[in-house]
Amino acid sequence: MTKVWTISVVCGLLLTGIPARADGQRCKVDSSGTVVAGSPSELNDTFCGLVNRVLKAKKKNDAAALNQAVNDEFDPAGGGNIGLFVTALLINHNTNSPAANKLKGSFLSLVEESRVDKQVGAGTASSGTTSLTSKGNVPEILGFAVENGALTQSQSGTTVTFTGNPVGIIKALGAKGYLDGYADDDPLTRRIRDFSFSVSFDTSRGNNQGTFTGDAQQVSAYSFRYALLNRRDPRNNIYTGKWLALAEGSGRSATVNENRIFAALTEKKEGHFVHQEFVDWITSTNAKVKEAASGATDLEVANNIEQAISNQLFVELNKVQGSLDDVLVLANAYSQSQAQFLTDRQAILDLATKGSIVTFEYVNDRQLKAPDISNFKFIAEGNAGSKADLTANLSFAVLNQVPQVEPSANRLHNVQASGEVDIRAGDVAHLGSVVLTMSGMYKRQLNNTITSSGVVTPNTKGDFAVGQFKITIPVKGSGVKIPFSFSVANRTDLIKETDVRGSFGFTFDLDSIFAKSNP
Amino acid sequence: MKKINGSTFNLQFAHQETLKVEIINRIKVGPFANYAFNGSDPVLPVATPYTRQLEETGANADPNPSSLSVRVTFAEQGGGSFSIRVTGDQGGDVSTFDYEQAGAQSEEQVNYSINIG
Repeated sequence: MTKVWTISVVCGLLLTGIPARADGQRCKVDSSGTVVAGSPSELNDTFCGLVNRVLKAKKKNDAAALNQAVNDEFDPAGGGNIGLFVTALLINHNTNSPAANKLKGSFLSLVEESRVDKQVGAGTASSGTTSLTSKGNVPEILGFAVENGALTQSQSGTTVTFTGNPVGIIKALGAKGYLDGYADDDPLTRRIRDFSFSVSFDTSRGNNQGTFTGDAQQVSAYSFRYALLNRRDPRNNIYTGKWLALAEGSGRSATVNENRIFAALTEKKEGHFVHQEFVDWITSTNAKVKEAASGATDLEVANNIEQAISNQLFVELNKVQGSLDDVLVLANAYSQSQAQFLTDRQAILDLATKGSIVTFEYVNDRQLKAPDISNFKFIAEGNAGSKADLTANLSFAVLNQVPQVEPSANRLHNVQASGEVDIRAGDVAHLGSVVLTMSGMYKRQLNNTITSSGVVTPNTKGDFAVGQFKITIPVKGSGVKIPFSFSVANRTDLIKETDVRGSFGFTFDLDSIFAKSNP
Repeated sequence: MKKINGSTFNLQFAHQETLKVEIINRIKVGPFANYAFNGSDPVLPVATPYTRQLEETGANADPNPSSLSVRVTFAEQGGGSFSIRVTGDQGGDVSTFDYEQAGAQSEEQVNYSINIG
């Protein structure tokens, strides 16, 4: 039995943000300079989004822009923060209200990190891979993976893989940022978004072996994908009825209830505001936030803005609450409908996470001294329960041409089937959502293996069977995941002996970073 | 339509002017939007503009000011954005409100004071 253990240095790409202070501060500034919630929840996300918008306006170093931005946030005549103000009213009034607690709850956690449906690393044929089974989805913009190991090849290697979506990359690099990278409702753009690609580089190839140069000599494979079915996209047409029911149900109630609160807060009698104290509070908040938007660093400015808004919401607003009894009655009705809305919307998103994915993938595997191999693969992915994800691959590979060193070779090079179960283990030791994976693969190879030096190895055609256990550990909040895998194979491409090996690497999904750092 | 003191949300319309609300630049938002005009509550496909003729006087006179709310639901747990553009059919100013989803925020409701006459 051959035992191969491969260890390499993993680049230290830690993009963690600055932690929230322990004194109840809600927000932090992440590595991209964006203010985000230290502990994500509907309330904290909304609150920190407000702080971030003021910070962004301040960063423009344009007093008029800052003035306009703050005026938009704190305008007695309207705006987008009434829901936040009402939530603060409810929290001030009754911290034990179940509805208020619902709004405060952190049920919207780090969902992106817990996703297990994206293929960021290399495919199963690469010499450096930790994946036995390909996943159905890829990053929407760009993924980057460095993996060391091999599954059915005798020689382990290091493979660097870039994975992405053409629409996302082109528009993201167009200086508009991730959020402008899509035109959701444009049918053509939606079609193009279903395509993705990847390029893998084998660092053992080329003139600088062992070093990633990214030149053509190191290209070991390239692939194209098309999503035939993606029911994990909540905007898929099959969920339209659910979205309509949400809008016509709790969405309608919550909208109308907030509209009634807004009408009450802006009501005038004989030219004067009925709730003049509230108008004064908004006017005062406007001035105090402008005054607070200063500091030597982004973190300092963000802290000052947060402190000012927090003081206004949870101290000063409390002082005018006595004049808002009629509003509080409306606010209680609002909180119930809003809490129901949040629950109903989350149910749609939960349903979508269980949706099926069917993807077709073409991979051109570039051999060194043998004909390239075209792999045609169908990938199906589904859900089993709330924590498990099932993936199946079926593929066949053909030689792009008959090798000169073996004229009798079969053009159909191999057929392969594999399956995988991913289990979300939850947040282990505060690392983030750890994923456990078990997978198995069977392959029938119809030709003898041709080595990288172009020599045919006799009696190497036959059946391969591989079992694998993998644990993937995310680096919280960074888009980085570190997979460790352990596999057992009945043989390798060259040696008909049982093979046990470990492999690991890191993958980096830029989607989560672009989502935070759009200009 | 005229923005009062440059406010994005405090808007002045003429008698019988038709206001139009469009949700544009939609990224990762749900397929439907909620509207509430003085408590009435249409639901429209998010790509369909909301229109209403405003009446200062007469049997169908609107409250003055009237309150208009627009709710956009985010369809994913991050990365959503949209803009709301409010115009009047008699020309004048254009009110534009740009918004980016904060974290995994579920929805954003924007409220306008509609002054008539």
